[in-house]
Amino acid sequence: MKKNIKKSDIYLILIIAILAIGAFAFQKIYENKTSVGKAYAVIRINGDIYKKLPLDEDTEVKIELKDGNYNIVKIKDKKAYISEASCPDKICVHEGKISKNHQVITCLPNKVTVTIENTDEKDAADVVAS
Amino acid sequence: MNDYKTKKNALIGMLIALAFIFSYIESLIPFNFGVPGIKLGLANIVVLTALYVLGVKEAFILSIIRIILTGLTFTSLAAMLYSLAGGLLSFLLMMIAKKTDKFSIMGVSVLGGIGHNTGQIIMAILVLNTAGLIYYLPLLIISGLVTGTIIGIIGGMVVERVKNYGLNKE
Repeated sequence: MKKNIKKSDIYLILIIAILAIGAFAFQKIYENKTSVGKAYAVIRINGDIYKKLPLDEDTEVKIELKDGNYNIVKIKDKKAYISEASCPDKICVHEGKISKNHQVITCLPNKVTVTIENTDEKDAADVVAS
Repeated sequence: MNDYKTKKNALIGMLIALAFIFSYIESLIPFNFGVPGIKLGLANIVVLTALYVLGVKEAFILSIIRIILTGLTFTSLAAMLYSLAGGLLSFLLMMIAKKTDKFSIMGVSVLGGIGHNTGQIIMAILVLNTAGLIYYLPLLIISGLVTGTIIGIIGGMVVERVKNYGLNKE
């Protein structure tokens, strides 16, 4: 009868939970702290920059891929999101809106990512700190 | 001995079919958390069971065949690449965790869930050549922890019931 949960299971779960939740919390704090300066939504296809859109201008970009697939990236109220996509799972559409530094939306099937990148990250962070 | 082998092969075949069906069921469930890579991992119940009831080699074969079959049918070849990365890392961690004999099936399953999600995101970083995807890691680990725990509880119940299926080598 080895079905009983062992002590080490509980330790394992607790340690991983603490580390992961800690990392997640740190991430959120870091995001907020570095979301200063001018923000861009950077669209990448296969890792290469396709377009860099300023987050303070409402726009709509249709990314058309060679194989006929597409993603529509919209920027509205300083938030970026994918409103429509040709991929089967639509995870990218469900990912919702992003606006903070380093946040990312990914469409794995189309190999498209949208990342928020703030310029002058360091300088701006220093200004906040001082 | 031969009888044992035949029985075992039949069981592996059945378990592959079962894991395959679980993958299909999972593809039907709209389990969409808006984060790429988050999955319930129903098929891992079968892999876990095989790991405990049959052995490392058999569970490994089952896991790989299931991923290939699923990639060829319900998902896509591209998705298969992520599943393979996730499946391999997950299996490696589960195998090591089980070998240490420090954890019950619950701990093994938790490591499997985390390994799966981590393997997938590593593959995504390589395929998309975008290091920024590491952003998802904390969330993916939390999700792997939760799903791994659930699958571990179910897997433990299954193993309790099938372990005396007349397949013990002794």
